[in-house]
Amino acid sequence: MNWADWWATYSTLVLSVGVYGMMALSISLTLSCGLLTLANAAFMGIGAYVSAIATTTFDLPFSEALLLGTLGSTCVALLIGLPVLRLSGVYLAMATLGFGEVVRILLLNLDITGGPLGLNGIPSLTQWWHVLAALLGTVFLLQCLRLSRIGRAFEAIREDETAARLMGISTHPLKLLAFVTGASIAGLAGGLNAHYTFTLSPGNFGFENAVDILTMAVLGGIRGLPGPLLGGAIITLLPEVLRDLQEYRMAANGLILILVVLFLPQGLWDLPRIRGWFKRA
Amino acid sequence: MPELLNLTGMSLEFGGVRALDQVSLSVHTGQIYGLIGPNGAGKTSLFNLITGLYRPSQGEIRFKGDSLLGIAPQHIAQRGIARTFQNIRLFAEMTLIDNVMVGMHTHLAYRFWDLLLRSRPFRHAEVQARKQALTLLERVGLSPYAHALAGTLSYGNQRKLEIARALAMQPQLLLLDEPVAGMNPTEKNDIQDLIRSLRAQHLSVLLIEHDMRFVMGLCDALTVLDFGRVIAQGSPQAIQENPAVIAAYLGEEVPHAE
Ligand SMILES: Nc1ncnc2c1ncn2[C@@H]1O[C@H](COP(=O)(O)OP(=O)(O)OP(=O)(O)O)[C@@H](O)[C@H]1O
Ligand SMILES: [Mg+2]
Repeated sequence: MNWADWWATYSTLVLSVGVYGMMALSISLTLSCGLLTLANAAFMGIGAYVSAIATTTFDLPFSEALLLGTLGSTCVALLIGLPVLRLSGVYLAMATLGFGEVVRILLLNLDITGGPLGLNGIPSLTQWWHVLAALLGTVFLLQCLRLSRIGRAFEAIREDETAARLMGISTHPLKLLAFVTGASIAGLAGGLNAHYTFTLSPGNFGFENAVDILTMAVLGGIRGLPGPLLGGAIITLLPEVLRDLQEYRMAANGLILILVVLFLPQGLWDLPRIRGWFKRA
Repeated sequence: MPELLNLTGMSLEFGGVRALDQVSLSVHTGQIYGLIGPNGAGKTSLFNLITGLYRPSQGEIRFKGDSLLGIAPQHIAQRGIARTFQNIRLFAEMTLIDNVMVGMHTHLAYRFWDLLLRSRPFRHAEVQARKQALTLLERVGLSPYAHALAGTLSYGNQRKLEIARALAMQPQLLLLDEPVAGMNPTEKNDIQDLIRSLRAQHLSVLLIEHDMRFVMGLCDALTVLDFGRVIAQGSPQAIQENPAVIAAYLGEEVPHAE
């Protein structure tokens, strides 16, 4: 098989590895400050629909469409983040899950989103280097945050929010920052995703997708940036490898989630554990 | 000496049970002030009131003349009150140096853009902070473990790290909740020296401690709580001779020092 044929067959898959790497990074950002939010799939959907409508209905250039998609999910995240981030734990997870459902139902019933049929004939504008650049940009941004007082504060909030506040850290604005930045990344990923899949339907961004994204981050681990990237790649490639087991995909992901939580609580990318292996060998 | 912290008529209730009843005390700048009393007397609850975790049902708290009532814990901390915890609350999965640097959060004044561009102000501030954090770890004798995870430290060392993290906040008032619990005599002496050196820097310390030798040898003034009430106040000398205090401690160790 020559290069062109290979790319024709696998380009969607390769681009998806990058896009879902971004999604896993976006949820790892909120997880890194101890917030279990399940709205990332919905933010991806908002970014995807806004940018696809921009290129199809309004004939805007791709760059502007991506920008609009990113801004769209960012603004929505600001609006819902303000009230919702007062919650924590299971209540926060439920509230964000509920928000995801609201988005899905809106996409299903609005005229501009094409209702249940979704959007079709979206131009194929996403190039491999667009995805690579967005992914590298995301990694750079998150790495800058990690190596600053903000990253340390995120970690402190995750470990003991009360102690963090007693160190003078204003936890609410920082949580909002994590949530909104995660939503921006998801919105951009959505915009990129829409312009290589040709079609969008509301079902692409529902509960199932939210759980997939969470599984990616938990499987890879959130102790470092390679973790979510690894998890994103594995969960994206798994259905291709296990083609015959398509129907059991959700079950397989659920099983992975359980096994990881039980046996690899820090995920696959757990440096102290990896160093331990090498020492023993 | 000017008054730094002033509590007047503080009361606190938990579902009808009075944990604190009309407690008043004041700490002056540069003072080491002791808070003692039997288990359940309400000492930790008083710290929780001062740091904004609990709200009093009555009373007033003033710090540098301003009321702290209704102010959020993070803002009270920003005004210059740092604390340690009786049941240690470190960031266990972070390194020692990162724990201390979390304490410096509000003093690391670079902007979001500096952080993204990794500009000079950002790099300078981070390098300085790291140096200061190491100096603080040295001061409490933990610099050899700077890059270990806080959760791997021994109990006594965790208490020392909590003090270093609190000092990183550059507070004017330091609240220590049983700082030498679980420490051996040598470590206790080290902490005593450390606290004296803080006084020399004009930092004020309010400390809770059950070890009477430690308290009596260190504090300039004391308040004794029993069942949420102040039963005695004054110099270590006067407290040790106070009949009410001796009665409260009857059946426990009678406070005798030296
Ligand atoms: N959050 C809470 N809810 C209900 N009761 C509480 C709470 N915190 C403290 N109490 C009660 O208030 C009283 C004072 O407790 P506190 O922890 O302040 O005592 P303490 O003097 O620090 O004791 P110790 O020397 O054992 O640490 C106790 O009777 C305790 O059970
Ligand atoms: Mg106590």
